[in-house]
Amino acid sequence: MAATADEIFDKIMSAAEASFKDGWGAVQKYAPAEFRKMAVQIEEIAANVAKYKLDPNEGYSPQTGKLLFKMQRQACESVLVAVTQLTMISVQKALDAIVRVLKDSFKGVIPSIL
Amino acid sequence: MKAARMVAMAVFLAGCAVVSPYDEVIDKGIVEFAEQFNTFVKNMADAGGKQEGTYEANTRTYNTLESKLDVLIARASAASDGKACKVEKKIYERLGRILQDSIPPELKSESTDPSGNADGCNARLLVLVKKQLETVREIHKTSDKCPSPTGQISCLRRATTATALKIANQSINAVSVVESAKKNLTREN
Repeated sequence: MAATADEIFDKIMSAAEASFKDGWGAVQKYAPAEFRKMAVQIEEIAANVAKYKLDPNEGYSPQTGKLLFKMQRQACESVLVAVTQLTMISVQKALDAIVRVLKDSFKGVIPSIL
Repeated sequence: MKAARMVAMAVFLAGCAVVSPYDEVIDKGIVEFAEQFNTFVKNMADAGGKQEGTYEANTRTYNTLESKLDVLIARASAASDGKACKVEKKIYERLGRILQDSIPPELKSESTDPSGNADGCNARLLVLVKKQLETVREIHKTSDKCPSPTGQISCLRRATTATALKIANQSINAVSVVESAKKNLTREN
């Protein structure tokens, strides 16, 4: 096999980290675990297709492997959309916190407007 | 004057909703779907090579699961007002290069719309779960075969179900993780 799960994982991590300089903290629990899963699953697909080629009663066919890889690409998009959403949620949290401070500071005025 | 500016800022910020609100129906709906889908696929692993494990014997279950997702997608799409989802452009470009593959057209056109909104991303996450279900259906119908007394029949092979569940659950979990984060946000306010 051309690439191991660890190699794929490292590449995905460094690319995602570079893209998320600011909001990375908000997603650091979710994203690495999901990128790790992707790397392992891509490796698993290749291993099962290889098994099938040796013994058609084992693993799965290259055609199934191709469809599973398509699923993995879709799952990759799901993770990217979720990461974006989680980052936006952290932005929303910051905005809400600022509004709370201002509300406390101007108790009489702001609640009557909002 | 300074105070007036701060009041104006608070009013402005309070109007800045960058994420869509928590939706309990989607949150519970995706959990129910996950339970049914995981049970179904595991049952198919056990039924490989038997008549009850063939694609033809299970089309109704696929239809039921698909309908469940359609209801959730319709709900999220109504909230998005027909707008698409916007994903961080740099991320998919870099990943596309790393995976040594072109960016899937659907990712580029539907998830990077600059006019997209947060509700559009909710709908997109659910559409992706539906696509996963459709691909499992395609594998069951066309590519996986198991030996039986009558010859090769359609099935979901045990190895296929193991990989397919792990992958599909990533998309399902993406919906749950986002809804859970929104639920916590709602609680804080």
